Amino acid sequence: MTTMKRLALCALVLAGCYRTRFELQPPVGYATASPLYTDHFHLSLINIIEVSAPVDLNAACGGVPPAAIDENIGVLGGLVNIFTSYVFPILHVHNATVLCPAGNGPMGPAPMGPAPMGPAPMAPPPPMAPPPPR
Amino acid sequence: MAGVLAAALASGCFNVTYTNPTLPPNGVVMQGTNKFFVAALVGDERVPVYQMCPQGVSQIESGLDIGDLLLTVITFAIYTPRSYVVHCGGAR
Repeated sequence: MTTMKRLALCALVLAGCYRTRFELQPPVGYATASPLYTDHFHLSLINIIEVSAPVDLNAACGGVPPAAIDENIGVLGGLVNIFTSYVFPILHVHNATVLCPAGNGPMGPAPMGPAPMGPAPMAPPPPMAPPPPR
Repeated sequence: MAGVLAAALASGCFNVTYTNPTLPPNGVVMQGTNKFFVAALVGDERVPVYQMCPQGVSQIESGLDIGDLLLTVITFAIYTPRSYVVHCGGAR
């Protein structure tokens, strides 16, 4: 195996491949990965004919509009592609992860975050009692 | 096999589809190409779909179209573009 091939293989295994993020909502706040579509394997024949069923965006977050889609080729997908796509160009794997808005995934609302930083507001001290008469 | 290949080439060759069956397309279609390099090992692209379709997305198709395939072959996969088509949903 040539050095170039080894480097390409290492890069593929360690880093995965390209990533495209389709931002469906403005990228503010924290998004959680959909349990239905997290590194979902999406197969295509000779890299051009879609075999897998389309990713259902409505079902991904339990009816809530998703925040974003990450499309990439993960480590496992890259390993599969080495044998099924790059050596014998038959089957190609993509990984799709649908990101749901925070607290709106099908698993229910996310736990509340930590309390805001800073000291808790304190009640004003009670007025001092007058000294007892002597 | 040749017929399937021809049909795939004629249909645009997209190989990942994201669909929202509850939001019918409104006829507004946006297209673009993301640029990747070295057999798509290098590249990190963001597509602000929410700016293209303020009322929501009906479908996104992502993958290689004929031009992407040709460029990938001609450059020996040094330049490996991937295209996308966004179908907006909701009222026009």
